[in-house]
Amino acid sequence: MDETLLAVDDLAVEFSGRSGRTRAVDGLSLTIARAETLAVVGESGCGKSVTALSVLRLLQEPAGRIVGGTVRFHGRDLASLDESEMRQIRGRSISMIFQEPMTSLNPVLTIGEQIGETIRIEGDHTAEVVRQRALAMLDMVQIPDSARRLKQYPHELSGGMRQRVMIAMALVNRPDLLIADEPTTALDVTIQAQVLDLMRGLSGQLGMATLLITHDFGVVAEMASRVIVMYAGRKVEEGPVRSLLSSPRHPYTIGLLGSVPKWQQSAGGERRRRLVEIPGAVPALRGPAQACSFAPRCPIASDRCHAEVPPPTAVAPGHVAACWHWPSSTNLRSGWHP
Amino acid sequence: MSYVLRRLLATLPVMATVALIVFSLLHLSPGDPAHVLAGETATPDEVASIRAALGLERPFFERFADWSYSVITGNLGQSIFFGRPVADLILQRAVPSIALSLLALLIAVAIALPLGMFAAWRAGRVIDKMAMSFAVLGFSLPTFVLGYLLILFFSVHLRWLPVQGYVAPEDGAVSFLRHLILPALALGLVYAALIARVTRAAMLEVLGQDYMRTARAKGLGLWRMVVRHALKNAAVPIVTVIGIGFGMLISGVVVTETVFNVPGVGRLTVDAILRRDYPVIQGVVLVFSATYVLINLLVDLSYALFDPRVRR
Amino acid sequence: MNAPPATAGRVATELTRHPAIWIGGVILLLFIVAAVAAPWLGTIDPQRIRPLTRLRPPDADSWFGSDMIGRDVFSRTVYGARISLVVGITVALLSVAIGLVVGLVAGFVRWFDGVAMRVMDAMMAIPSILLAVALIALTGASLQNVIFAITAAEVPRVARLVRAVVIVLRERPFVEAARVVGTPFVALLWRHVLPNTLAPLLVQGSYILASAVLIEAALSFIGAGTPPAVPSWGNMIAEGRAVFQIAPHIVLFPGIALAITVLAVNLVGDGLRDALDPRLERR
Repeated sequence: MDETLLAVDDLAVEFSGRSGRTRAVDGLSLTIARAETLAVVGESGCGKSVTALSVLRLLQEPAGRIVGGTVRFHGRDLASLDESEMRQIRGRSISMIFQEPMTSLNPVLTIGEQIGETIRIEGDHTAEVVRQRALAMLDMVQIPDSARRLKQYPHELSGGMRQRVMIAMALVNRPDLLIADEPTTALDVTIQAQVLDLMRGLSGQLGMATLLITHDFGVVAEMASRVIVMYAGRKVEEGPVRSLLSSPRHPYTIGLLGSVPKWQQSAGGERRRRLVEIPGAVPALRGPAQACSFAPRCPIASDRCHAEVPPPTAVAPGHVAACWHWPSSTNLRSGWHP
Repeated sequence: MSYVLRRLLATLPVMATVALIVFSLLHLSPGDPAHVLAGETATPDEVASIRAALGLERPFFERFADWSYSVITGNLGQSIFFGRPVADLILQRAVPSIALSLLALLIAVAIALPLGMFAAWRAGRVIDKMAMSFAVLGFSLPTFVLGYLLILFFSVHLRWLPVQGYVAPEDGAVSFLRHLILPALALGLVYAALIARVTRAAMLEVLGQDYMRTARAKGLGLWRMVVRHALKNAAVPIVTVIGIGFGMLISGVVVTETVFNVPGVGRLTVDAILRRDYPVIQGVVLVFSATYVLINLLVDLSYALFDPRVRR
Repeated sequence: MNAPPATAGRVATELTRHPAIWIGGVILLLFIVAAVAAPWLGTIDPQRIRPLTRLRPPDADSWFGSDMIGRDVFSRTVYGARISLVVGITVALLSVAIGLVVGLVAGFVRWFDGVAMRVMDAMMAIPSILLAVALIALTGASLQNVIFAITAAEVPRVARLVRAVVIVLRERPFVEAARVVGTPFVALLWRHVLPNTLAPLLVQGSYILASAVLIEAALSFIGAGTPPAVPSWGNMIAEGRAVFQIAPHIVLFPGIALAITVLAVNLVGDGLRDALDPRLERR
């Protein structure tokens, strides 16, 4: 893997609050190659968004901090950089788009100002150059009437338009890596499909890698080449999309896919699989896990599951699962509902 | 445009009600309005002529309408002590008071904005707690006590600045500023404490917003993030408190001018209290209230400058 | 305005978490005790003129020195606490009581709401010291008139606050439900509305106390407050004005006492606000 762009190794993130410290990410490792799209899937609270924020070091410090592991980007450990060094990375080499297009743009600055200042962080340009590049970017994300849009404020744009502006802003400096945290969750189904198409097209066109955070297996199937399933801050399964979706090995993944209404017909007419959240909450960890976190909700858990953390085990080429009982887990697949 | 017009029209009923209250104070109070307006030393003839001019036998609202009309045309009545129009007296004393208020406002904003912003940026840490303790302290120090402390330290002890008094700007800009700096500081510090508290709260709210995370993710510099992205969003509550606090500033002007012997409208008011010169008091109340309403109109209009969503 | 009802246990835990209430409360209590026990605190008659000991600086005999006609500044400062606290506490109680009634009626009676709020807005547009000055100029300087004048300036703040709470509550399901099942109006007020106004009123009341103490002192200082013979802090500062440069202690001791009192009340108010309104306390 000499094409590795991002390598997260044994990442641990903790949050401290009134009720003490909780571990949001525990020993997570992942790699993304150049121009590859990796999806991270899980229920809300599983640590996938925290992972995304950790890569760009956007956690609300000092409440949330990286307590262990490395985040190597082009071989350089981002976890050890200071704020001004990180600033050189953000918006230039790594960009991020967020879930809430309604609130992620600044309401009191025009679209032109917000894209323009992003162009300016990369170098000094004349106002006209900035304007032309902003216009070109809006055209690229297929926003019609781009000259007028530059002068508008976010509240004058629809949700889909705002997310396109977010994408334009993220891509304007041609980053090597785009982190997309639930980029389409807040959008209407038809708009979702358009935005996903756009993102896929642009990442191909720009040769850009994507770290896609989602809870939607439909989005995973459409966008990613590899996928990681997270539960309670840990990676429970990882593999090529095709292999993992067709033969999931971890009881949690099986449960997730099993609770998906089969090939649902959506309003937009296209077929997609949607993940419905499993009842019950993801447990909060106080420190490094001492057992399989999923054991309390798992139908095939044994004494060993409650006593030892299962290591990632290869179950197929490029496909690993962290389960003591993966060989027998396939029996669950015929419609287990946790 | 329609926003401006609507705000403008909205101030009219407030001003009218202020006028009605000020008028009622005199005309509905237990004493004889003619006696009050004529002063304690007036002869029976003088009282009688004022009573005739007031037309006290006419209905209340008719008299109010007449009086309002004369106020609008700039007639605020006659001073008992000076025997001159109240409006002239106020105009004559306006410059020191305006200069003092503006300088105090400037000092207050210059202290409060950085302090409040910094406290919000470092919320919950020692520096934030210190800044906010300073704000509570500043908020609790009476303007006149602070004034005397400043005189004692800067004028009596260090001998850097004049103790009291006022020099008109045309008689020397430096001297004018040297005389004005301490009163403006005494007046501005209380105001600064108020603005700093609101700035901190507003910034804290803004800093937690999603778009601030976006700004950070874009790799923007600290200055641009705090000033352009955060402060502009926090501006509405901040200018609002500046407007509301202006009432406090006006009350403070009256006291500060007395401490520092500044011959402004505040000093005029205090002299009028001592001389029982009610027409002057009434005129000052009207003019100061109108100023307050006007300032808050400007504040309302400035919202459109900071927040495009208001402009509709 | 959705503070959960304050139970005794909650109040106790909140108090320990907000030291400002303690610190401010203890200081305030000390001043109240001093005001009540003024004659037994080593004071002499605050009005006694002693021509031979004029303008004496503070020393072991007279802790705060004496003023220009030989009156004991310490005694006058201690007795002055009585004036400030009586004015502050009375104004706070009166403003809250009157403002509560006006706000409640405005919140429930629509025709009154329009009139009352217009008047309240206008009254708030008149700077409070000037409104008080105008009232006192008409009624004459006395302790009662000072209290009355400051109360008039503070009532609108309370009335607006109570009205805002009522208007939010009026639309709430539990108030609607109580009305539908025919709960008597007074019971509705007692059970649903008053408990919800309690917390903001407590906070506002403490700020009014602080502001009333300040305004009383300022009024006395500019000659529109308590009659000159009364040993109020504002009067003492006004009297010391002329000799300020040679005998600053006459101004400073009442000034510091005034500042500490207001600070203590503000600390209590801030602490109460943080304790009772969790929304304001972030991080």
